[in-house]
Amino acid sequence: MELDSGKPLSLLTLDEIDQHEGGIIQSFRTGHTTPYPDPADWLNSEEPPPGVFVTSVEKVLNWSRHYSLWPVMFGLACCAIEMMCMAASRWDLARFGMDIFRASPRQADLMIVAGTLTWKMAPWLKRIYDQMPEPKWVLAMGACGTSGGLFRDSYSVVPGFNMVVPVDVYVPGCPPRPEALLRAIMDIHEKIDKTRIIKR
Amino acid sequence: MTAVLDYQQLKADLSKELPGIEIQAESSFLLALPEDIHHVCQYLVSRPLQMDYLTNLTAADYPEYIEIIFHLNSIVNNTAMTLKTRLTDKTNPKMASVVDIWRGAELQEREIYDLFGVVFENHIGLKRIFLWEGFEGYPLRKDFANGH
Repeated sequence: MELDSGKPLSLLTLDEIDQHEGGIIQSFRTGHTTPYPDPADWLNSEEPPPGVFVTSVEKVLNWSRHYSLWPVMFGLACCAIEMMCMAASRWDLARFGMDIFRASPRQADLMIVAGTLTWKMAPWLKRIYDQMPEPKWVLAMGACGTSGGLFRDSYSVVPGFNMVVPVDVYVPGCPPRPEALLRAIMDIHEKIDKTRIIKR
Repeated sequence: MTAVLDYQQLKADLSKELPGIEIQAESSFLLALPEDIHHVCQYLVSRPLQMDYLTNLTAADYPEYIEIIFHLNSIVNNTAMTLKTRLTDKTNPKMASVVDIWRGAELQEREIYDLFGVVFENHIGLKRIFLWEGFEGYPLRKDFANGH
């Protein structure tokens, strides 16, 4: 990462790095005041145009995506404990073919954002989202993820993750039970199954 | 169990040790002036009281003043006490840092500086700790209005 002056970060003083980071966060905050619309176009997706037959290709693609979701690690606060719990033996996420949480966004296609997102963290959430390859899905976990929750009017908390990234599924609860999160993941599966590879 | 010091006794000791200091003993805390706070702390940390452990350093915003609160413990004597000071100048509040007495005060003073805007003089590196550079206002003050 470099500054506008072209000076590499390793040559800067700590104060300059802080100023730089503050500038990023401040401009990010002023630039994200309206929420992204929820990506709901799949709900009433139309049949492919006449003469185009995808037959089993679409089915196979959706089936393989359905059973091999790779989540990226994004535990921010207390919801992450429930997320870990869901991945561990009692609720056993491996049943759905997604037992390994990837540490790199480049190997993941589902982002489970669990916890309170502050404006200081928001630019880096956006960056990780941008680094994930398409197709990708976002799951906002907990009250803070859906609306900011308890901290909605706070000076430092993002009121809902949809201010920063488009969110596919919201899971309410503070924190949600692991069952609720499993249900949300099955909703994502449902969405994947209904995705059409050809748009009209 | 940790014994809480007798504040009346403490006040008498302090007035004898540091003449000319204005100090007030309440039922649950000792109140000193901000300009005297460094001297008072130096006395408290030395023998015989040896309040060698700063448990907590925090602040509270009141209509007329900003109150700085020290929670002190003595590991040696197994005693505890509370020391408070009031900064009446709310537009430009400042007081002496106690980092040279308790090293653990460094981050706590940075937190107060960040969220209340109190400037600690002679601090070793007073800058923001939680909020980012460019944030306007002091969020833990009562007059802070959020944009929502």
